[in-house]
Amino acid sequence: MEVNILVAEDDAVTRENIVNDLRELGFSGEIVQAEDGKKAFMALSEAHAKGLNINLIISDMVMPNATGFEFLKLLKDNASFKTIPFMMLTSRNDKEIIIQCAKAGVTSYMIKPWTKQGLAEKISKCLTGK
Amino acid sequence: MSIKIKILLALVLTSTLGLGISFYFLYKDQVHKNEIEIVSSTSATGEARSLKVESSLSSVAGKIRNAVKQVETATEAEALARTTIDLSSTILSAWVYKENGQETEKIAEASKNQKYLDVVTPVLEENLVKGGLERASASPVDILFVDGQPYGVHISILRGKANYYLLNLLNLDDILYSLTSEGLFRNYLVRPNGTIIYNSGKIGGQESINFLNENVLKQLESNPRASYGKKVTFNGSEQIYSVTRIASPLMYLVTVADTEKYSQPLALFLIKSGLVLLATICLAIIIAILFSKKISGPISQLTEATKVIATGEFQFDLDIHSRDEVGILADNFRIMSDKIAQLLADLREYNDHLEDMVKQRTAELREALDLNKTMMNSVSQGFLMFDRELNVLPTYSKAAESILERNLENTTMLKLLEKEDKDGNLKDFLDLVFDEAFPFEDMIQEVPKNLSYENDKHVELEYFPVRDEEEKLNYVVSIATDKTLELKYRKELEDSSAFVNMVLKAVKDRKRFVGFITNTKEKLEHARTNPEIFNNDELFRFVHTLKGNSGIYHMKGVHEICSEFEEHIKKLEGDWKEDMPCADYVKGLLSELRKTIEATSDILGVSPETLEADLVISPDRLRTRLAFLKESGKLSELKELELLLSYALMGEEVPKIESMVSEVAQKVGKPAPQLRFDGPDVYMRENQWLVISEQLVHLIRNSLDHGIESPASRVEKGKPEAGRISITWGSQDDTFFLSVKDDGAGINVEGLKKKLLELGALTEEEFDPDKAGEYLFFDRVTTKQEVSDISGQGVGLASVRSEIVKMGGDIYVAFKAGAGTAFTITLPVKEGNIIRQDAQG
Repeated sequence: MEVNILVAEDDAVTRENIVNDLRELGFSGEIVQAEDGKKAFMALSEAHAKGLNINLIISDMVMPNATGFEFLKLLKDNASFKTIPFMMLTSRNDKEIIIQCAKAGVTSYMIKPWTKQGLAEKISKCLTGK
Repeated sequence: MSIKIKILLALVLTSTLGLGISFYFLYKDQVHKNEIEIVSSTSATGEARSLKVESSLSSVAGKIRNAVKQVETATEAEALARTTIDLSSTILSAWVYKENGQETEKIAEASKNQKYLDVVTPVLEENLVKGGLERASASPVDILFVDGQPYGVHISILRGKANYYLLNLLNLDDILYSLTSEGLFRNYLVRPNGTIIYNSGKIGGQESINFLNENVLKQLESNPRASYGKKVTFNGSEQIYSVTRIASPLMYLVTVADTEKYSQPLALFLIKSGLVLLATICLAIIIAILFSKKISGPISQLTEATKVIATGEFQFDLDIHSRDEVGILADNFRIMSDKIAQLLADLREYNDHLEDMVKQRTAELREALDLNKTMMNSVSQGFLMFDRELNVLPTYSKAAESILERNLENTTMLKLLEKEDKDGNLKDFLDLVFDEAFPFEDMIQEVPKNLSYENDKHVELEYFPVRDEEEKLNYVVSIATDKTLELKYRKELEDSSAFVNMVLKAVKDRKRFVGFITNTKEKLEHARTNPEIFNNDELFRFVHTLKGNSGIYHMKGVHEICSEFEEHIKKLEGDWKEDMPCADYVKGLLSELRKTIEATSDILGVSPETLEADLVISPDRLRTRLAFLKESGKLSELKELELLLSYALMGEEVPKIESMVSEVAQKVGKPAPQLRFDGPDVYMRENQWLVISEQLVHLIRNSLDHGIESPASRVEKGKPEAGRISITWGSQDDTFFLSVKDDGAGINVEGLKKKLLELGALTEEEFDPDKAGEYLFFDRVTTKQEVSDISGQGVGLASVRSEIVKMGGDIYVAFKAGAGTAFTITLPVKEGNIIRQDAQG
């Protein structure tokens, strides 16, 4: 199955790294990139309008304009997007953040820095719903 | 064909072929060798022979010439003839003739043997004397055949009133016969026209030798002593001859060898070798038969054995004891068949006793379980279990209670981890863990693991999920391990390895280390007694720099205190001079520093009390400076030398900078940059260089951490993976400059602006992008999100500038987005702080 992925991350280098890792892991579908939560939501809506189904969202937590949580809230309020698996990227390892993630309905979270292998496992769990 | 016959045939064929080939080459070689030998030996002996003939003839001729004189009377003539015969054993007879017009008249004769007089005289008179003079002048030696016997005749003419002929018979035969080498050669004396005048083979006088053609004669003429050898057909058979020239009288000695005589040994050789060949083939056949039996025998035995095994039996005899591959094959075959037999037997046995064995194994397992339980309670590990309600279940081990130092009956996990639950959200979090909102393995990482106790005891908890048949998480098992000793040992190990590293670094760059320790100690002591030398910001900068440097020198104690001190100053609200903990930190740093000095004083040669370093100077350093002084003409003043020793030569510092850069690169996790150094020979006063070099460390760190991008993004921009840093220095007029230039990303002006606005250092309107370089030197400015050990606290560049300004210099920055950043330090040249060979002298 071809997986289309949306990557929302304000730091260009980190964003590039994620995209590179995804390509190297063999994800050959569309990868839509956005540099903050607001733009990410717009990009998602645009893709939806064009008939492109996004199957996975990887989003940074701390971003200007709309944070990862704010972005997720927008998704949960939208019938077309609320079931898309959502992976939160966080730079801190903190119980509070994880609790917040769980409450907000994050599918999976990943702590920076990540390994390619770790990323692959998390994505596979997100997509299979385990 | 059976294997036996195949081997046999192969052996015989190969040995025959090999022998045949070797004999063919031997034969070819032998024939060739013979020919060469004959030609060379005939020519060599030909030359020797001709010399012998020539000398024998000339000696006789000489003797006669001496004897000849004018005679008047018959008596004188007779005396002359007699004397002549006596002169040489080869002169057999002598005649004295008197010339009288066309007639000659014998006037005396003498001989060793009457026979010669009787036989030769008539022939002599008839053939020679009568028509005499012409012939006599043509050839001083001639040969006559009388009764088939050759005789040499010598005619000597004495000009005057009367002419006499002296005639001698020479026994050439004797001379020539001795040269025939047991009949292998025949010798001929030949006139230039080809007429044979002498033939040792007694073939006859009238034969001529036709191969003495012009070509041969010409060659002999041009090289009179050489022999000319050739293979020809002569007298109907193949012969090898050599020709040698005899000068006086002109004739040729021809030596002929009959090749047939030489061929005889060759034929013998062939017969002999043929016999050897036959014998060898026979031997090869015998050996081949024996060998093939030895090889094919075991193989057929093995073949038989496999037939037996195929029937399901394992009883067979193998009479094979050799140690070659066949032997090994046989051994392995035995082992293999034994194993198969054993396996079959085992299989039958298993089948028969399977039930009994299951029972036995179950009992064994039960025993092992009991043993496990006992062990669990006896080692320094204990376990407990808690459920979804976070209650500790009664199934904990006794050891858990003693390790955790508390009663585990009727308690909860929350109570157990009370002290570690600093955020107060542990209950919510553990609920999520049981709900498995995210994978257990990920979430459990956040549950407190390390329990600390007042008495330095450390207990570590590990968590494992226990699930039911539906994979639902019902309980979590926690294993508690007492890590006190382990941590203690690990710390000791870390401390001692840090100490070794510190000593290594200190020894490597002793000068800088001693300078660093000395300066730091001085400043700390100064700050303790006169706290006003630092305001809060300056203190923070000082501690931050000390933290960085102590990290580089692996001074663990100092580094740890600095980290805490730094955090403390950040949170400090009032003036540090009124703050008790600050004073304690300063004291603590001083005592750590003192400990370091005491521990290293022996190695470094530094007195712990005064901190004065003995002057240690390497021969290289001394040599460079002596050369410098010599050139500048100042060698006479010893003071100058001493002075110069306390100067650093910029070029000499390069290796230290290189090693420092690679260390920093390792810490930031970037490939070591390519370094370029360029600058003239400049001496800088040691204490100034120490300050400058410290700032250099800051600048390079800054480049590596902020300027040079990550390898991946560099490659994307078309730059080489590793960054490039060039360090250049020089002086112009009264200013010394040192610049550090990288090929990184330049300065992130937007990030800088954001940071400055956040700090409230500037307003949006005040911000001038052209002054971005200037803003970098503001206090606490950094564009980096994460704070690292290397840089990022935002004190680096501000502190660099303040240090340089103190020395009367300045620093400025130039950059180009995407292309790189250059920092340049300038310093006024004054009071001999910097010496350049050409300018200052």
